[in-house]
Amino acid sequence: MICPIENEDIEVLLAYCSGTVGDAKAAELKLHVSGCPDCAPFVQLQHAVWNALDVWESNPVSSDFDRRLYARIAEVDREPWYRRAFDFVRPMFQQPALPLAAATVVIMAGFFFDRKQVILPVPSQPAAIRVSVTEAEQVERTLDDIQMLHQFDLDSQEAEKPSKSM
Amino acid sequence: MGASAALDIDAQLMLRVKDGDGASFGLLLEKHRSPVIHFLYRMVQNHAISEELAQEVFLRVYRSRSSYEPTAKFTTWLFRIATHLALNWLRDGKNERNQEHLDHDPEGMPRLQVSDRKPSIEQRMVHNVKVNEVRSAIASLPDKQRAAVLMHKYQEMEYSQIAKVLNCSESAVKSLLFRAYESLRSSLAHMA
Repeated sequence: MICPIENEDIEVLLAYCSGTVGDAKAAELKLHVSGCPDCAPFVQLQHAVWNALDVWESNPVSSDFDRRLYARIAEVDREPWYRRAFDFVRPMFQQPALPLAAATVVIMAGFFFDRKQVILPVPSQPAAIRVSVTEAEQVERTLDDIQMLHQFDLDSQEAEKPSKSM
Repeated sequence: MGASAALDIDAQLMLRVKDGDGASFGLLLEKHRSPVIHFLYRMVQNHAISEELAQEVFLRVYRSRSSYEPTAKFTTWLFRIATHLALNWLRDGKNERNQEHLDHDPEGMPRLQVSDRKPSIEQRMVHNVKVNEVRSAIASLPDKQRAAVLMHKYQEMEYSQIAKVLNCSESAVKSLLFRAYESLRSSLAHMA
């Protein structure tokens, strides 16, 4: 028999250890493993793992499991028709493409409205912040006005100079 | 032969559920309740969470009854839902929960069966230590490897069925199992 480990056919050894190979194959493998320095330790360890996993038993199911489930099912049955109709399309929403497309549309719509929007006060912002923004704009406008007036003064002074020299 | 017969029975029951037969849903629940809960328990290692997830599995089966088509084995479909929910649960809260449910979950400890031959305290302790080592070894596996091992070992599923549940190829399942058992061999070697 060709050595499963040399042949990189570990699958057959795993199947042998889990007892899922036929009797004839099992007998052939048993004979091989007993004399193979590679397969023997592998099988011994795999058997150990298999037996160790058997030690882990699961807890018994709660006695009220069915009652809780049927209560939830009764809630489902009481749902309005449009919620139940959604059950038909539910699998579509479990595919990653559709929610992704929906999210993309929402983001695109967000960008679209954001570009159209000028400056809108955020309703959730505190009043103090809104006032300070308005004040800043007023100060900026006042400074612009002062600068403009100053420029106007300079221009008028320069315009008067030639008339005085004359 | 047995597998195809089982497919027919479960699929036929589910088709009856589709036609509004509640009793058939009860039969399916009776048959698959324990395997699903035990699988989920070993996946998430918390009894309460596993039952909560199992409720969601059967609720989804019930909700999907009207669109059910027997294109695959019923158990493949069932465990696909269960695995999906378990993997999502693990992904969503792994960091906060993994230490908690391994170290501080008293109900995660196996309940010793009452029998005529009561095990001694020492035997109980040895048993608990072994169980904890197995649980830790399983918990340390990557989620998909863990699911593959649990389906292979405890549900005795074939590679092709595990592949359908995990939505991957059979060779990918072989690779998952090979790596998983390799890790388990090294972590549980001392139990040989």
